[in-house]
Amino acid sequence: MFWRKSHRSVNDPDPLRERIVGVFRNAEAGEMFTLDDLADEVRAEKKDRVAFVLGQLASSNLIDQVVRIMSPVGGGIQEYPSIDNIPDAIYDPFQLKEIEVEPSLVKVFFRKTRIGGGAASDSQSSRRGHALV
Amino acid sequence: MKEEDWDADRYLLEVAQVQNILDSWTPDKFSMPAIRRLIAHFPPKLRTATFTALQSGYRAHQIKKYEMELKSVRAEAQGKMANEKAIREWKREGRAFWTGVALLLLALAVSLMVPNISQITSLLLRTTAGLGVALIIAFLPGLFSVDTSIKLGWGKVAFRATGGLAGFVMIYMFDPGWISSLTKILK
Repeated sequence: MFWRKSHRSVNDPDPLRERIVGVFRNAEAGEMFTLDDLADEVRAEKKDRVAFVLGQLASSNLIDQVVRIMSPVGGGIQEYPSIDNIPDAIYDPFQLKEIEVEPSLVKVFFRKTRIGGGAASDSQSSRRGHALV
Repeated sequence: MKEEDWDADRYLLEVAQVQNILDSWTPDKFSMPAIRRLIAHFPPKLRTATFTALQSGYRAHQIKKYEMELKSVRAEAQGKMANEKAIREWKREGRAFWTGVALLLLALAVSLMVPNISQITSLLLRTTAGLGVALIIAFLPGLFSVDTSIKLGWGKVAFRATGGLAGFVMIYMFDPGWISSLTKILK
């Protein structure tokens, strides 16, 4: 019927995905974005929609996910490729004591995949995380 | 559940459900193991992005909750202030009324006790009684007005007064007679 609402074909490119990929394409090497940065950049109304696209891009190894644990007094402690890898407690070199990893101390960043591998590779060291200090 | 089975609609639905659960949590319930358990059924590659989406949603929820709390605190403070203002005004009106009554009674008592009232005493008594009536009238509802003129040696002076001032002018200028009559009766 001519009045039926037209649906986007499955093969059509997702405009949001295209915009997000465009942001990463134009980003400088090592530039990191948070979900809020990307949602603002692509002017997305729903952040969970952006999160889904980011998850897909990470799944296709087009971008890296960086999960950084921050110290409550400021400064990053350690980075992990996924939230599945982060420990429940971590030694905070800024406070010289072990702290519980609370959700507010965890920051997630997204960046272009580094040439020759990156966070997406499942090496033992990346699972353990990279110490920042 | 395979990652391929998760399309955007399914994902958004699952995230909405998880957000609803998070909204019911108290702050002390938030912990990494608890959140990890909550999104354990998500495909591994979507979990990290989902976590940050939930963080963002939770922040927005907290801000909204904080704004709502702030609004209720403001409304409560405004209500309290309005209440305090009403009480203050009511007390002020009461003080003015009873001061007026006291001044009238004072004028009456003096006129009863003093046998010969001189012109100056009469002026003072009229002023006191006028002030007393003005204070009583000032906070009574309704509009009381006096619109008159008096002849003086050099010409005519017109007066127009409303409210408490009208009461004062009435007593001071025209001596309605009832005070003198009451004084005579009491004597």
